[in-house]
Amino acid sequence: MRITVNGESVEVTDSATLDQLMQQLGYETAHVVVAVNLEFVPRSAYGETVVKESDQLEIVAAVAGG
Amino acid sequence: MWTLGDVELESRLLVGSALYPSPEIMTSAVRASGAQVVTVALRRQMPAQKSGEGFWDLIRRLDVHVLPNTAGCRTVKEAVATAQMARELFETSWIKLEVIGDDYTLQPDPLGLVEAAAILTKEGFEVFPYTTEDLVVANRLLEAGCRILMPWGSPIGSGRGLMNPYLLETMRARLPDATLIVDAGIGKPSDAARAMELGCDAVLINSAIALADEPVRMGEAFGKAVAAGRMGYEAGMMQERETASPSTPVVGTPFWHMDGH
Repeated sequence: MRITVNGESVEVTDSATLDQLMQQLGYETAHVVVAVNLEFVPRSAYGETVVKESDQLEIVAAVAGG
Repeated sequence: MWTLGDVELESRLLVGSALYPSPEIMTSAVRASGAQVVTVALRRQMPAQKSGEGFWDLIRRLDVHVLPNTAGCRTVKEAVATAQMARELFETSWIKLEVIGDDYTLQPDPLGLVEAAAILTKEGFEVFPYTTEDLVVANRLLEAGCRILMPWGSPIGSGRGLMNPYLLETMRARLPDATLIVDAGIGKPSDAARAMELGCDAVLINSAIALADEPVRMGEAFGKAVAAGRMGYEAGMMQERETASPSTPVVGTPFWHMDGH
């Protein structure tokens, strides 16, 4: 299935959990946080969160800010 | 000592971590400023990037309180989700809430700001709303559960100083229990001192330090300006007068009433 990660279209395994998907995409979950379709998903819920076709993921990390 | 949220602090200067020539200059400037609160942000990260991890380690080594922001958010939903993400990543319930309503001035959207603030305070966040100096909006934010308000001095990054000192003074007089932090637009140490003399509790500076020729010295200059302005406010300033009034005693002035006087 195709999903969007940080604005880019990506092909991933069908009906993967967020846990599996983060691993598949190559993210270190300790250093990023995630929102799916504009809803924050806590790390504790990755295992039970199933990502669907055309879901939009935002995966963000710490940067400098004012 | 003063209290910000539930934290006791010495310094009344908060600083941003962006726009410095290098990470080393940023950490040195923060240290030189004496600031104990540093703002940070969240941005998209690709898997191969490890920059987020490195930056977060750098900030942790500064041993300061971090204040994540929702910079760039334009809707309530974006701002709320960003705040929730920041809470998990930075392990703090502090959030500098920005809901921007105008791209050119980066002026806050007061309606979205109040709505987002109400949601986040109910979720246990300590919300630092970036707002204008509008007294009615300030009251709505307090009603929404905020204890801290961050009125702008002038637009973000403009360095134009305090556009409306009268309204900041009015906010201070009308909202004696709110913590007021002037955020945005301060360009010179004297602007920061002025904000403190008006009775604001603290100021937040980023561009004015980071874009100085020597950010480390400018950090120190702002630290001193903020401390001096606060001390002046606490010491009670004299009233302005319409006319001159000699400070040197008049009695015994040499040559008094001699020819030619």
